[in-house]
Amino acid sequence: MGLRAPHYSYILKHKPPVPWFEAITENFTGIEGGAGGKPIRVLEKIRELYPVALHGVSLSIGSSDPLDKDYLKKIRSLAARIEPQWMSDHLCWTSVEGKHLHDLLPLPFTEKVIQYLVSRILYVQDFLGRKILFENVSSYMTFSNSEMTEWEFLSELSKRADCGILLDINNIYVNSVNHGFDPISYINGVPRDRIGQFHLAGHSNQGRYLLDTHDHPITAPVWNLYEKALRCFGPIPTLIERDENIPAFPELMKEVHKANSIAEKVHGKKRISTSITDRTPTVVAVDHH
Amino acid sequence: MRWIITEPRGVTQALCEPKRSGRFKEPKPRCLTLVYKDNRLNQTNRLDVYAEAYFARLLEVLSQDYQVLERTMGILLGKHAFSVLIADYLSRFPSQSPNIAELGRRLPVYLRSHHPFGEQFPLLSDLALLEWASIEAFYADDVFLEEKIGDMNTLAAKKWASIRFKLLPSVHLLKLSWPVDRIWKKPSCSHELRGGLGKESTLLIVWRDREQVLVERVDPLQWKILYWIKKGHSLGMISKLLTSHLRRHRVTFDIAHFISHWRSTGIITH
Ligand SMILES: [Fe+2]
Repeated sequence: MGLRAPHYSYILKHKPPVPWFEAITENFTGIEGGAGGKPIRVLEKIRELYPVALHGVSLSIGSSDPLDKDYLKKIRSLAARIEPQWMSDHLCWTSVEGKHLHDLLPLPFTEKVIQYLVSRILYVQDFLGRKILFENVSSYMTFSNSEMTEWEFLSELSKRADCGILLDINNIYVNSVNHGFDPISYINGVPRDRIGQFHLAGHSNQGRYLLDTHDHPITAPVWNLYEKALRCFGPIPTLIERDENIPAFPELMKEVHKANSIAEKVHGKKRISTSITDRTPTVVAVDHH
Repeated sequence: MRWIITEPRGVTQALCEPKRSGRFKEPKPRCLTLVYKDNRLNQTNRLDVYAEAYFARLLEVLSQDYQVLERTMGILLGKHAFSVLIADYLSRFPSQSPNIAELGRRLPVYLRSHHPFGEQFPLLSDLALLEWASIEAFYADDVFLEEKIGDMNTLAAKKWASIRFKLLPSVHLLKLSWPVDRIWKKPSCSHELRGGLGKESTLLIVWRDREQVLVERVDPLQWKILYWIKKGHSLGMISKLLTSHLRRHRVTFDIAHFISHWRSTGIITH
């Protein structure tokens, strides 16, 4: 399950049978002059009861700015405090010239960008002392100078940077519509041994394009693609993202059960695992960017 | 590309009015040619998705952080006033932190010194200050210090004078010119604003008790004592300052009384 403020008290009171939670890293790093206050108190209480994965939104690995050492130190000390099962962020840029856009912006798919990202990812993984999963982002534009497909880019990068992949199934589908490619080619095109986690989410149809809004239930084509991904990659820990129109916790569990039943259909009943190396079935949750 | 997708009024608007601001130096942005062209959506539309998402996301965050300000501005200046303020604020102070929670830090100062709405209604910047103080209190560190001094009444005078208390990290002392705590505590009171809220010197403490942010009015004497505690003064020094600055006598009684109250509420520790 993803950690969402409206659910904090429900989780602490009812201790629902959820194998792990995904927390947005930056929600728990505090602000200037305060190391976390109420949010970190809640996260620590939840961590006593459940394993937690940390999911970042501001590493800005693809930015032309130097890596932000203060930010890296903050997330390293949060990781030391929370001891997450794993950490992830996005394959994108979110800042430039010291200004933060707080959006996950797309990169050109070129050899030059791969080289640039590899050195930065190696540095970050070394700094944090662990492998990081990088997530494919939804996008509304691609670059005219791209030299390869998104999945070729992701595959090559993950091999050379020796990082994991957080594969967002909804983002693949959204991009396939927005940019006109076959989502199955994407699934078949990424390396099996690099996938550490799936995301599922709902999007909204804007007529001429799909918008990754995380405010709807998951759509049928995304469930279908999820099933194909499970067949291709095996039982990967899965998380459902819902950021707007957040229903009550028990309501969200319906989508969790649906994801679990698809996973059981594909792989049979297996032990639920929280370990990234075990790669056993599905644990689903809500998260917010 | 940054200037075009961070224009709060949208890409189309930015392209139509290239001279509106000093940032719009490129008459036809080169970045448009970098966007892959197909017949689904044109290049401007594609960039516009990002521009709109940029402004919508940041507006949403600031409207959560400044809920009372937004409601109050709606009453005083109309429905869209808060959006206009935020568009101007983001143009002047784009986010400089990886943490989006930092975004609103400069809004109180911006309202007070740089925006016509703040000039027109000076209570708005006081209200913004109070709302930002409550956010800082929310994120402030916790301290769990052991109280070692016991009952202060039984302490020898010399020992008493050397004691230094500390404010909890979440405590903020605010000196405001408008009684905005009334609006903050009772948002429905915003409607009374139409009748005019009078200027009134207002001294507040804002702090967090476990998970709840609290706001309390204090009188000038209490405010001064807390201010000196914050500066790290000992009780002996505080009592000297009170005697000389305020020409008050028997100040030790006042100090002991307040200290015991603040220790019980937990806003000071030893
Ligand atoms: Fe995602």
